[in-house]
Amino acid sequence: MQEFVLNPSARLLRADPAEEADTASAKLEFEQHLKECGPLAFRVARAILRNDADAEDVAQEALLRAYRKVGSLRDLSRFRAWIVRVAFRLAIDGWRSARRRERRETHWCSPESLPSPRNAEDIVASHEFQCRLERELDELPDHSRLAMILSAIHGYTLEEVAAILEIPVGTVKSRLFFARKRLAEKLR
Amino acid sequence: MNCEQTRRRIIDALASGLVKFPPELSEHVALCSACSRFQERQTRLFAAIDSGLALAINHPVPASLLPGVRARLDAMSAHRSAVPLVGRQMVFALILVLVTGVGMFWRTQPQKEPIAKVIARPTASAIAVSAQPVKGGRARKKVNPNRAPYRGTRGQAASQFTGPEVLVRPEEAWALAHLANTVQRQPDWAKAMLRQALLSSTDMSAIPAIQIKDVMVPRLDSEKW
Repeated sequence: MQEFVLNPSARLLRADPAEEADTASAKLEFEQHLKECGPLAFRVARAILRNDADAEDVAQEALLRAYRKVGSLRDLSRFRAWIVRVAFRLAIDGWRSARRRERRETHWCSPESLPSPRNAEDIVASHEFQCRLERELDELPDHSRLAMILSAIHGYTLEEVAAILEIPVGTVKSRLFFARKRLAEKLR
Repeated sequence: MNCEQTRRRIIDALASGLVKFPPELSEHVALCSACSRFQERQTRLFAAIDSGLALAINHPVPASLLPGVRARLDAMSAHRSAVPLVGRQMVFALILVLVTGVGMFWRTQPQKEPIAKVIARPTASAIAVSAQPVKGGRARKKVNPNRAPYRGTRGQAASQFTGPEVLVRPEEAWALAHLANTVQRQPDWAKAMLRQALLSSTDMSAIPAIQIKDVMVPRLDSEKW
């Protein structure tokens, strides 16, 4: 893993020891946050954009913005919540603009014109089901969609999702219930 | 509990992620084969949704993500430190000194002399002429002889000038002053212009008299002058 060093020769020469120590600790802190929140930001963006390169760009942009605010976001939970929201917002913006562009250019082969599925059992394991699932996920309201994405990420419990979204666990549960029920209705 | 209610409750239970159904629901499903099949289908559907979501969302993170962030941070930091703090302060101080110096130089510059002795301002005599009664009418404007004459922005320069004045409109003052200066500097030009004017065969009597409001302006060749 590459070491995280920000131009040491230029900055260390002119900084006083206290400021230098503060900067070094902030960098160390950010590096720790980066290792955990980088993949999280990427996965949130990837769930929206469905494209690795775009999701990577969005995650990097979110992390760069987070670096500028690392002083006021020392607490990991706050940092994580902040970066998830930023990554989600950036990804949603990118996704919406891409969708508008796509609709403008290829409206003739829109999803509405596709044949309706036969039944759930026939398409469960198929690629078509996956495509339909992702499409229906896109149609969910933003708050339910984000809760669904975060809860589907491996390793995050409902309590952690609630902490990230800064909402009660009960609210997370109700959002997940609504989202899963709606997805099932659409995919049935 | 009928089948419709049972199926609705099955969907709610699966959507809320319950692992074990309530007892009354399990009893109905055990007795009703149709509801049992429905429960199996719905269980498979929700399992497919969960696995599909996990597949879509837990995508492998590209290895270039964190190095990319570090590289962009390094580039950002290097760009920021390209002009060091002391250097930035010096540049700011230099700009401040330059601005102050230019301002002081501008203020200490002496006021430029008017390039011409042409002053565009109405005088008391001009006002008096325009206020004379015409054909027994009343004077339209009373002239206060004690009133100080109007002074424009160059009033100071005008008051110091003791030579003859030419009354012109303000927008023509500069052009006339420039002409006067040029003629004074170049006497040959003045002679040439005068000669040209004398040679021209303009018949002044052909030009009609000018009527300015109620004031009759006599012809140049009339004897009223």
